[in-house]
Amino acid sequence: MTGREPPAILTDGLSKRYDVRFALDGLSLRVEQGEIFGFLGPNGAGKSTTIRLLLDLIRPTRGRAEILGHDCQRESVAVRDLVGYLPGDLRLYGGLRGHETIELFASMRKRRTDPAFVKEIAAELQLDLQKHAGALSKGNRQKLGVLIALLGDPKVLLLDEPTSGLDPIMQRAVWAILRRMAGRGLTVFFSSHVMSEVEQICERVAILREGRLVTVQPVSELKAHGLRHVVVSFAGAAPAAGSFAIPGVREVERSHAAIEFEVTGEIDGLLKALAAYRVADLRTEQPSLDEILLAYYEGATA
Amino acid sequence: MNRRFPVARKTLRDYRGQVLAMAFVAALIGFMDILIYPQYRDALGDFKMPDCMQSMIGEGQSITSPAGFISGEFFSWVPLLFITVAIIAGTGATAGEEATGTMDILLAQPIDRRRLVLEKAAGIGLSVCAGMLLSLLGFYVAKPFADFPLSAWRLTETMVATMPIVLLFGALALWAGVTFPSRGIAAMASIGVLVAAYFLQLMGPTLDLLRTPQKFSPFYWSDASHVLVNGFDLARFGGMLAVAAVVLVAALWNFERRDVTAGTREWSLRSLVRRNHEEPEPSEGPARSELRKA
Repeated sequence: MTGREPPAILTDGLSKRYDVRFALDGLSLRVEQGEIFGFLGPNGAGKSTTIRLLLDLIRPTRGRAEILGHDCQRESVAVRDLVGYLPGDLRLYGGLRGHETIELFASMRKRRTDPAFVKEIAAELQLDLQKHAGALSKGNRQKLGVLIALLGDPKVLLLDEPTSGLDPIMQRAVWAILRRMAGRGLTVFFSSHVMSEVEQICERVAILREGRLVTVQPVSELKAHGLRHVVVSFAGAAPAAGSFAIPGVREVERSHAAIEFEVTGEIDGLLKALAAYRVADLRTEQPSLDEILLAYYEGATA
Repeated sequence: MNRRFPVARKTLRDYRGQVLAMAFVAALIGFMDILIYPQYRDALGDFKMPDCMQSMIGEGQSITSPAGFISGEFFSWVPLLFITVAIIAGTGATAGEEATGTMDILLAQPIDRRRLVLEKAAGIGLSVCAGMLLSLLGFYVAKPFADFPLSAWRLTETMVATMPIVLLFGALALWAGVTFPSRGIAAMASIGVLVAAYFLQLMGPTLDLLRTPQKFSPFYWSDASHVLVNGFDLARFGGMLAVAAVVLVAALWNFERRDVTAGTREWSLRSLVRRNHEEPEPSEGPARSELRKA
């Protein structure tokens, strides 16, 4: 990739207001080509609004967005030719069979889809294309939606909660497909409120709260700077209360020979303080992404 | 895989059942009308209908004349069947897709909004016109077995002449579906206009008060009896098609400028007079150059 290549997704102060409420407020974001980018936030945070703005289904109150250098409003057809989309609440034509649904949407794409590719993905997702879309379970409908999003050789995938309704095995199958597509240079932008899946496949995440961007970070950094629990067992009695007055470190629980700390940010200060004592064991528990996000949502960290 | 006009082909498929059913009913009625006409004429002789009923047969002069009979018994109401299908399909074109949530995935494909609406309109128009032509089969099959002096060509001309009013109501329903908040309200608005227009056409000749307003009814300009008596009127046909085209352009214009919804659309009277989305204001976000550097 050269530095001159346009970003896969670029938004600049993108906002959408409904009457007096901003569903999205000044979102400025840059997603590089080939990234698997997570877009996190609770329901109503503005995730779907962002995706619908990128697709020109709704128009921005202010700001603008580009996909692969094309303006999402002025060149919306060119943008949609490059994009595969899976809506959060996928609705399909109940009267069409799976393969008819695929034919309908494939016929709207400018680039042809190899029937062998459709068969391969359908087999991987264990999807029966002979059934009517109206007779499919939520999970199978979602699989069909994933397949529709992959039609026409898209360069960017916009997926709104793609694994919603899928069992864990199928979630893994979808993640495997997404990883494979990203390996071929496809950009995957997907919204979720399920942190574990973002942790599994994303390189970077943006956190959205009440329509505003809270942070954009690599997943590893987000976790490193998050809150973690450290349980220290001492060789003798635990030091007296107040022995560890270190910024970012808080005692949560103590027993005769052990203390549990809650550490925000780097652990270095605590380790240096512990060097003065005989430590029998030290155990750190990585925070789950859920805990980190909860902290963001509650405004505990910024 | 046929890649041309996918939306129009899907629309044709969606309404083929309803259109074929209507065509079958209309053909059956036409078939019976032609067969019973000689008995009707012989039984009624010089019967003259009351003025209030005369408007049903328009320029057909007498209910016992072939033009008057087929006008009153067939063309005065059978087009309403196809207008009903056109209204159902017209309101379903955008409002129906939005209500069921399928518009999102449809418009996420590389097809622009104008083309989507035009393909839908073309699909609806072709469906109803094909149904109307099919309904002529009843006349064609019955004519050799009955003494009915009007030619098959004249009956065909008359059916073709009634197509623009069906297309007009289809376009009106499409516009209403684009403009009003739900398919139900759009259908009610379209049916309201249909009832008012039909009422004006029926009552115009008998109430002086309604004589001038009657001329605003599309039924006045789409009077089948006029074609049955005088032959095809290209000016009326073209004029009605032009009005339908204007309504369709209004629907396109409106749909092009508003947000697409999934589910029920939030709506207020204010939204009718202002654009559904706010005009973009200057960005308050970071400068693009900064973003590019990031």
